[in-house]
Amino acid sequence: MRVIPYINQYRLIVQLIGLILLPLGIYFEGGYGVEMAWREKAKQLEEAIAISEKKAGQVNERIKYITVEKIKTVKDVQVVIQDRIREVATKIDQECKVDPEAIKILNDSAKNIKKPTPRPLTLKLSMELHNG
Amino acid sequence: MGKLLLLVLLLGGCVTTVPVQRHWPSAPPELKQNCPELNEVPIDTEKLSEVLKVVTSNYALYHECRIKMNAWAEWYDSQKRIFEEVK
Repeated sequence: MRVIPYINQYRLIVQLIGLILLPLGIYFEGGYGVEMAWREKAKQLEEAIAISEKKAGQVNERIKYITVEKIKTVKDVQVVIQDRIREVATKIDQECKVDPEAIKILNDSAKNIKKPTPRPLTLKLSMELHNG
Repeated sequence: MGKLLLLVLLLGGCVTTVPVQRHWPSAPPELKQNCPELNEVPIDTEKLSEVLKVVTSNYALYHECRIKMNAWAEWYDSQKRIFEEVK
């Protein structure tokens, strides 16, 4: 620096500026590197998520297809069963008469009896505290 | 105060928000339907064939419900596995 005549007179100031700029530069260079690393990681994560969302969609489609097909089979079988009942209905009805009590029991067992759901203990306690 | 400012400035370099969001997938609408109530036999009937029709149709309802229930379990397991693959 001493060999440059014009700069030499401001040597101290230039050195001071250099002293400040060097760590700042290192700091920002480090920050830039970290930022770039995170951006790369975020990009990788986004790609992985896109693949997983595609897989999730495929699973949805597969399960939907299988479910619909299975239900269709059940309905088809049911049609056959109902036809078979119709075929033998006369014979069955001739030999057997159902007591109304039996039907009542059957219907009672088919009913979905809805009991009031008991409140969870924590909710009960908090309500008691709230009400004093 | 100066040291604190310096520390905040230096630690500021560690703050990074990753703008990546994940969503849990929606289940197929076919699985979201509730299981229906069971059919009841007309109370005035004396025919066993009528009873048989209702009972077998209730069996069919059970089978449909069972299929949906099993599909739910399979859907959840599959989606959970896929979700956990991304780290």
